[in-house]
Amino acid sequence: MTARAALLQALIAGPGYGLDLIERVKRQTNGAIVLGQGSIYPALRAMEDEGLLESYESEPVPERGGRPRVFYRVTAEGHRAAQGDRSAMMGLLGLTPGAA
Amino acid sequence: MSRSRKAKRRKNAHAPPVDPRPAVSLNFAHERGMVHRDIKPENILHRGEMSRADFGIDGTADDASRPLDPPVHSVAQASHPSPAIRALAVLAGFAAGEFLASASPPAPARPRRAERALGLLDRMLPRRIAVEEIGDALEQLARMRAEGASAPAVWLVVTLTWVFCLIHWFSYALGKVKGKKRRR
Repeated sequence: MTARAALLQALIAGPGYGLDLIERVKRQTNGAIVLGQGSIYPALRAMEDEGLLESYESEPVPERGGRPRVFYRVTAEGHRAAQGDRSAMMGLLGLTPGAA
Repeated sequence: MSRSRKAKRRKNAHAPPVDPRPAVSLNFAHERGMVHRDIKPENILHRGEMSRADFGIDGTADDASRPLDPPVHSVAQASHPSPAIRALAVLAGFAAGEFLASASPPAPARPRRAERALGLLDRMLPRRIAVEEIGDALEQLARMRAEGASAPAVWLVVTLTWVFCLIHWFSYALGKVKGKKRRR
């Protein structure tokens, strides 16, 4: 599974920001997939450029030195892509109806 | 009047800060049964960072119900309690002042070195990278400190943030150059 697919699946549950998404993916996969800060931000920006995600900023947060958090949420196109990824993965695992 | 008008026109930045330490010292002494009864600017000593109330102790809290007139201006003019008790009270007041001077509110916390190292990076990079990557790194450092992470772990996060931010900035700049070429 690519970082992009993992992020899409994590964002289906709701909007999130970088650090939060790293933890969400780690928790959802029981620690099997740990995304690094080096890979997550370029992936999020690339997906935003492709129209799969959209971003917005929160209010400034004191523990971030007064910087806002950049939250990402899935667009309609992102939902379709996530659904496609999920079907492909289920097909590989033989979990689709009639795949056996 | 004109003075007060001028004073009103002054900006907040020019207003002198209010030092709560004399009031805190008096409260501390009063809670322990000592009454000052002659607090005035002349009796507050200020030595650089340290301020100390000059405890012209007159009596104990039990005496506070006694009429204040005529005012007692110094220890020497006080009619009671006995000189030995007054000397002890003055010494106790002095000790309380010393204690409070050492326990006075600390100066505003300076940014820690790890945060300053990221702040330096912050000034070099585009806003988006500064807000997202560096913001997340600072938040992670705050969590690590709360969990009692070791100093090497903190510096590992700072170093990796530097490396990743510089790579991201390079790819960001490269993407812009490629975009321009494509448009041509």
